[in-house]
Amino acid sequence: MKINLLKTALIGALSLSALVSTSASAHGRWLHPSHTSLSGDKAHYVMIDASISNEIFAPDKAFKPKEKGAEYDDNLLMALAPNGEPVSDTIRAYYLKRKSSAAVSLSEEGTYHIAMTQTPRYMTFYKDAQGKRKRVFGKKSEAKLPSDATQIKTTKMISTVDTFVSRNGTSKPALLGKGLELSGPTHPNDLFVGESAKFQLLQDGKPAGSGIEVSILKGDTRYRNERGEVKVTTDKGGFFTATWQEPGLYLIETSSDVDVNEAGVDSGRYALFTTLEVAPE
Amino acid sequence: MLKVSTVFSAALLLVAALFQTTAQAQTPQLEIEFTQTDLDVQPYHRPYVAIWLETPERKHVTTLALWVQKAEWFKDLRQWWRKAGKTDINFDGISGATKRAGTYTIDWNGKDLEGNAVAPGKYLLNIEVVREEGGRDYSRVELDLTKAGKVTIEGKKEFSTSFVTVSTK
Repeated sequence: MKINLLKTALIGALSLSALVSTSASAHGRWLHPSHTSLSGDKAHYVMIDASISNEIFAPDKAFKPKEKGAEYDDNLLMALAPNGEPVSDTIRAYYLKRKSSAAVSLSEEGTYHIAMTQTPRYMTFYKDAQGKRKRVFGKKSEAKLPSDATQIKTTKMISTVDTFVSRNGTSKPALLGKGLELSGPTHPNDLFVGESAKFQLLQDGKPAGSGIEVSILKGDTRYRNERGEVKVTTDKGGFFTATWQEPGLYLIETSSDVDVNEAGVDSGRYALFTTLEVAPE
Repeated sequence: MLKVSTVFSAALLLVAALFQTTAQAQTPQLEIEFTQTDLDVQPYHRPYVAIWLETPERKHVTTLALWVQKAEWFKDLRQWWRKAGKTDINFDGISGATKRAGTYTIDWNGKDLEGNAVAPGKYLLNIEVVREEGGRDYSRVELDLTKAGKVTIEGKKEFSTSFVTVSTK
């Protein structure tokens, strides 16, 4: 652990950790569920909008389908049913220029964990002939780099972009088990103004360490002058507490370094963007 | 030493038993005078209403009244839904149709939905009212079921000042 920390610190000091973290948080990405709590015996649909946007919950850019020019992507989103099984119906996410939209049918009672498929992305950072820092998508082996590029480093990034929806009751949400994600003790669909909520940050399904900064940002940033994000830090065991001042949708955002043992990759980074709904008292 | 403590605990038990008898004899009863505000609005959809008891730790004890229509909208009684509605409890015994504005009396016989007597003590009485195309009103007050008396519970808009009378028989 100590060695790991030291290594992380070294990487941070020597290479591009600061730059990576800036780039990782440069673009907000989020899911916007039409509902997070549903009642009644019938199955319900929930709309999930996904977008890359720093104006939180106002869409800016859709996620482009893998297949060029395709109108939809069946692999953009996934949902884990209360029993932990992936929802078998395809979650067809339509590409709508500024957002990707999908309807998910909730047929089981309990809590669904809905997330973007965690596809690794690679970025390569380098210095050009003038000594300016640049970055391109892809591993250094495949990225188009100028021949005089120096200090070439590739970072692997895995983002968790998720939310939780409960139908006719709540259950312990299934874990993705990969990347960063939130766990209890507070249920993500039982959040009310004036109450504090305690969450545990998990990394690859295990408690993340202490000292990780978590940003808590209320949505609708377009309609106020101050972003007003609250920053908290995880304690031992990866726990942190949030107290909600206002009802609304919130984006919980954090990231952490991770060791990657992959040819041609110098460092790894996980990012988390979780959407939570807070009810008025 | 052993003997002394045995005698002492036996005495304690006796005292405890005596107290319990008196406590059990006092079956708390409630009379709730609930006023659903007469609002001059068009349309006025009859609101969903829930009145329930919780422990001081905010655990649902029993629901006294549930005036609703479709289960699809139960979730809008947000506090009642999280504390009671989403559980497997059967509310048939106390649920009824939504009502027009007015003052209603709800009597509670001191028993939970399974017919078990609720222990005397301190509780929280919750009233939640939510109306389609309208507002939501939620309040809770502390209630001591061991003390006879009248407690006021204030609504803001969807319900007006209501009263809870505790009697112990």
